[in-house]
Amino acid sequence: MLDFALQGLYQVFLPGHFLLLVIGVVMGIIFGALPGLTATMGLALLVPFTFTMSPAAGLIMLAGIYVGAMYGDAIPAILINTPGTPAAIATTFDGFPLSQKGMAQHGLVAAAVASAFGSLMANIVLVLAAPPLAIVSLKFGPPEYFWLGIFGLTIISTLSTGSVIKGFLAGSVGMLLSAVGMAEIGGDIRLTFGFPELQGGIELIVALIGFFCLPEILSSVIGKRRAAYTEKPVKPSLSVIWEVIKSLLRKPGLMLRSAGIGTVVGFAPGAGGNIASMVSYNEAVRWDKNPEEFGKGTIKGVAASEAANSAMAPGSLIPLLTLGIPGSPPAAVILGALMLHGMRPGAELFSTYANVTFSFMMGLLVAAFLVTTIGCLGSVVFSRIINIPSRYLAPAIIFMTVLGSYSIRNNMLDVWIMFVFGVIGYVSSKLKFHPAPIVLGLILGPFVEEGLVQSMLAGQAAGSTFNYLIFRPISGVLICLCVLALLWPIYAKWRSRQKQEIVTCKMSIEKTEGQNEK
Amino acid sequence: MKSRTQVDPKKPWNSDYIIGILTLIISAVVYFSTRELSRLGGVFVDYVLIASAVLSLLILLKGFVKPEHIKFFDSVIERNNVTTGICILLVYLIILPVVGFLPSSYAFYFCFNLYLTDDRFSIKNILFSALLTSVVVTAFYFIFNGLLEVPLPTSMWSE
Amino acid sequence: MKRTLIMILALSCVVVFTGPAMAGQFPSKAITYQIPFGPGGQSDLEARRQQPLLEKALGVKVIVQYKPGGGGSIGWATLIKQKADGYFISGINIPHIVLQPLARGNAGYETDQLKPIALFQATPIGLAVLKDSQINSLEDLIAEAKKNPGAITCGGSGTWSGHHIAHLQFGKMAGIKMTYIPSKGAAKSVAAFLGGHVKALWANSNDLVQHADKIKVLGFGTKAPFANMPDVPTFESKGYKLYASIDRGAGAPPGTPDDIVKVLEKAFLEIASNPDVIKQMRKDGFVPLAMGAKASKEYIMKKIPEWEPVVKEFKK
Repeated sequence: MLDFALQGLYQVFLPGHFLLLVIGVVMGIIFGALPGLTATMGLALLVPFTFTMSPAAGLIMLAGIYVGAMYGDAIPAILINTPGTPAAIATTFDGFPLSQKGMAQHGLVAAAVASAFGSLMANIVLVLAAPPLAIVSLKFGPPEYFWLGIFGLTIISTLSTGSVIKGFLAGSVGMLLSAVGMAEIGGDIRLTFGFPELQGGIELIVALIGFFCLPEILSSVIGKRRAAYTEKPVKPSLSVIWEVIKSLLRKPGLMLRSAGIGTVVGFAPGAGGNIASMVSYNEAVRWDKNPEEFGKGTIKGVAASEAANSAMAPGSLIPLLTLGIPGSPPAAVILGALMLHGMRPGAELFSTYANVTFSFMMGLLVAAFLVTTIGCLGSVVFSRIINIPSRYLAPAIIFMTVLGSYSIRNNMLDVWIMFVFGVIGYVSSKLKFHPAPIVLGLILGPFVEEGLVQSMLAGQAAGSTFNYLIFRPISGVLICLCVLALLWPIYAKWRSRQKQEIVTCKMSIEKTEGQNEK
Repeated sequence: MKSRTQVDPKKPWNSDYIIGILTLIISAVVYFSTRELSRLGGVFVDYVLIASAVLSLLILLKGFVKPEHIKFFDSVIERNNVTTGICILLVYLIILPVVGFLPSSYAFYFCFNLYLTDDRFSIKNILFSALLTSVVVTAFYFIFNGLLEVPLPTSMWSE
Repeated sequence: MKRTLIMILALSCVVVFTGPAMAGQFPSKAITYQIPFGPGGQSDLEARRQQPLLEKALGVKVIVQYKPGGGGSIGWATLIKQKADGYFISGINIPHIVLQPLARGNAGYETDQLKPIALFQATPIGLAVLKDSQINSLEDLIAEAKKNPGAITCGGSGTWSGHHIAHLQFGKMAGIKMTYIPSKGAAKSVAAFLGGHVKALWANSNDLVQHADKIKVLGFGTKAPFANMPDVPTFESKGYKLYASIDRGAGAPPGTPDDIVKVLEKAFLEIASNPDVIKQMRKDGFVPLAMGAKASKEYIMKKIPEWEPVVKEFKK
């Protein structure tokens, strides 16, 4: 296998192919960065161009696009609080506060480095262990998806700045929103209120732009007439790059854990990167010594989110390459490209077409390095974008988001939905609750529903739905995780109260000692 | 600990009550629109409705016991700004399918840019805004429509 | 302010009046080929394969556009609203376009509003079990189902889809009760099946061909045995008149003039008889079709009375 890998590397570094890889990465970053354009769309638009090329060349370019997009989505997340793709939602939690503090470049570099690290780790896993992992991924059945969804919902307790009840309430509203459109299993059309376009449900990216991007503009740029998008302007420099890299290298635990979560979530077919970054962020908060720093602008948060969502990409390719089952929408497009070149997923890919497959995988690897370079160097330029006065920037952002929302499904209704959610998001921030739980509910609703209803059907056939849902190995693990996740905040509060007591004890001892000395 | 009866005059609204009532309304709307679903289509909705009803009641309870007070706008100026901003956006979206993407975007960018500028009616600013509008909007239009062939809303009259 | 208004007016006029293309022979400008599903799916794949060939046959650019949602219904609802000048066509899928209006009440379109241009691909639906399953034939399956009604779980893609209807029809014909567990999309249903979460699977022929080494196919819903798997019996040969397949074609908005449809039909049929295309389709496990506009319309209309009673009976 090593010789295949080396052959693959050789293919990647051929001048023509390498150029294609670079072009792919750049295009991927652009597509990831423009809210409304997704990695999936970028891949779909460029697949026809790959017809005329040899399979290896075409796939290398697609690899570049996929990896580039997984970094690109962090750029608007950090700069304008808008995830470029749903995978970058968690990047906004700490990314935007960072740029508010004038540290946008730090955020961008952290994202570039973490993305590359996540990609790298996941690729190594992909190359070494794809077939056995694919078999594990098949074991994810309806109950597992259900519990995975519920576990995802428990993250809400961490995300709720303020009352946890509000957070869960927002989450349930999000789940109700996810019910709009065709029912997952029942097939009924729900909650369309007479709009046939709503049969497709509410498009996630449109909701994201609405909830994350517009309220920010409404409140600070329009409402408070802030001249610049952030409170402090950013002063990019090259030394920042090295500084961030060094501090991230000092946190191997954080990086490895985030990459691990991304890879695992990636290969559960269909789960995709949307939840990977949030789960990783949640875990980063949980295991950190100073969890209060999160949410106020720390590169740890950005790194956790970006490492996971980039690790998801190779992870989602595991079931794709071995079984032909795409783990995420971009993977589905890549499957299409493979089929168009006459390559069918399965054992064939690793034997007859091995050199093409390995070129693709090595392409993913090298693209990760390209992303770091372009990302770090580019951060000097990108971060300056938010120094543009908001009176020029904000209208441009709005008109781009309108363009983006429309182009996803060629539907004017989506633009209206974005607007309405924007207003709702603004109101909700005034009511002091963060829209992230709503979005989480929107994303996870379909998983929970699909898992629930399929389990009900299968459980009935097997005799007892309750047994079916609970007594399975992977489900068991997930259920324990859910319980732990729900109980953890209580434990964390107890622990911090202990810490507080020790501190106040120490303080009073010192005070009495000071008094005694006198 | 503030006593329950003392309401901070600067923060007159009880956010918990507002959220609770709003979500109860949403739940009610969803409930009544989903009574005709099949068993499989409705089961998920029913469970989530139960959850949101319970949580809304809990929030209302919290609003009673340990309320969180907010005020919406820091000043009348802010309220006017936000309202105007929303109106400009509304107009943009309404004329978009009527006039087409390009003209409405030109109009929007131009108006919005001027609105956010301090010295709105000076000739220099108006001209600069018009120039910037044409450059920015046209550039994006060509990249998306021309280069990437992403379809954009066309006008009702032209085809 | 006045200056601004004049400028805006001027700009708008310029854009509006330079719009319309010059009328001429069809086709004289780019054609939009809408895919009512997301990118990466089978319909997309086929369209991408056809795209360069269509451009050559028609002499104009063909733009592939995605309009996913509702299992295709949003795309078809959009299609019927487009101008019937031949410059906007859409992929069509049977049984979707027949079943959706029947099952949903208001799907946004009616089956007879779509004007078929051609049908070029058929994907027979088959019933399969895993290789190590105790069940070896249709008879075994039916016996097992009779012993434990409702215990056998069959996976498939979608509700009120080709798979679902096949499941319902088969259950009725064989007098058995099996539980249908739909998944969202063919890939997911295959994953559920391979993972052992359902005991049998209603699947498209291309998926069955792809995983042939891991499964046993019990039957196909075709008139003649499936070329890639000639040993597998047809349902008909076992006495069940079950014809199930997913057919793909292209359609135009209602009222499109027949001579324009003829031009498009010729292009599609040309592609459908292209030997390379046929070879590729067969290799992947599809059955190439070359049905013209009239034949397609008849085929579709025949399906409505066949499926209407099934939907009525099972829809609660």
